[in-house]
Amino acid sequence: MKKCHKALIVGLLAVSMLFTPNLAGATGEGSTTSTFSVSVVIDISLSHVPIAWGTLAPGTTNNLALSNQGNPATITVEQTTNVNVDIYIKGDDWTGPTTVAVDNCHYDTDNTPGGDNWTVLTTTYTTPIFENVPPNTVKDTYWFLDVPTALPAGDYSNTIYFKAVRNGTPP
Amino acid sequence: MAEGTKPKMWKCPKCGKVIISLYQRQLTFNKAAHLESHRRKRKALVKCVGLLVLGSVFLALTSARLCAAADYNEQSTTSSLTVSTVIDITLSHVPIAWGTLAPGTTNNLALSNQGNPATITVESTTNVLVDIYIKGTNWTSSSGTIGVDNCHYDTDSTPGGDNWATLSSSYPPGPNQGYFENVPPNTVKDTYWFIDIPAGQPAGEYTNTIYFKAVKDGTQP
Repeated sequence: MKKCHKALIVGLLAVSMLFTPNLAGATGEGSTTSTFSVSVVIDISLSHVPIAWGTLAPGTTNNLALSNQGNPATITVEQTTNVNVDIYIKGDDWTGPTTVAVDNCHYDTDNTPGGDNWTVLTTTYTTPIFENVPPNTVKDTYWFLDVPTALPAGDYSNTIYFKAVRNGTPP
Repeated sequence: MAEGTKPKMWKCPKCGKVIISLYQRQLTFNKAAHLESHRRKRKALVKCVGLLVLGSVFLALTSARLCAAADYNEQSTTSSLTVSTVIDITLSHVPIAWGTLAPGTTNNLALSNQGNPATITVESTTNVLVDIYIKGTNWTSSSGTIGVDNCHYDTDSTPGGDNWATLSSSYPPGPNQGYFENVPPNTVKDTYWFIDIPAGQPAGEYTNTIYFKAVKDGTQP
């Protein structure tokens, strides 16, 4: 019992030393750091979609999508986004009576085929179409399709993906 | 000390605690209570560990999802098109010609490569299966007329047989009543042409027009 009392007293003294303010001087000042991290928020939305070409003849190239259905398709980097982003695009083959390969499709930043930003659609994300895009920004994409000769008549569809990642990070 | 008041002892094998009692009955009760407390403690421990594990798993999953959602944003849309029907046929080994024929003769086969055969090609640019229909007009000349039904066509150069057909001034109503049915693109079809010249037919040069129409399989001509 005596041992217990001794230990209790020593413990109380130690605690009181830890929490007693330093009263050696007239004033006391202490400092500490405080930190937090703000998480990354990336938010994009699509408008003027779905992309559609209507009826096309086989053996025609660079068919521009219908007005406001891929001419353009608009990507908005919403204002809630809190980093600059890179935007990547990919797509699937079109399926229908047969398959239309994804590389029959191109997208661009204007409605004229060719030029610097003329990009062939691929099944994987490769090079960003837009880089270092700040929040609250609108980006237009224009969609073109080649229809192979003798492609069987009918309806075809696919899915096209738009991915925004933090600038400089892989998609 | 009397026999009944001699203290009785029991030492717990789990924790080493010693329980002393004056009466056996009381000792048994205290022993049972002590062992029950061990069981309860173990049960509570198992419960705590289970909850801890579940909580950790939930936290790990939630935080992973939140991180993934924040690092990127991916949207998708469908895109669609309709490919129009293309039907393209060409004729070769035409015009069809019989040369000079005598009245009162039947099943005169057209001249070589001028209806013997007359060839229909469904071109490779065609993008549907097609049914091919044939019709014609009467032959006329300044001296007379020969009815369209004096003419027959076939898929071989021998009169008669399964594909032997009489020329008509209109296409069959269809659908699926073509002379050739369900023909794929890039296909060649030969037709052989025969004509009867009625007896007493006035001499002269007779001409008509023969039509070949390809429609999408299953549709009307």
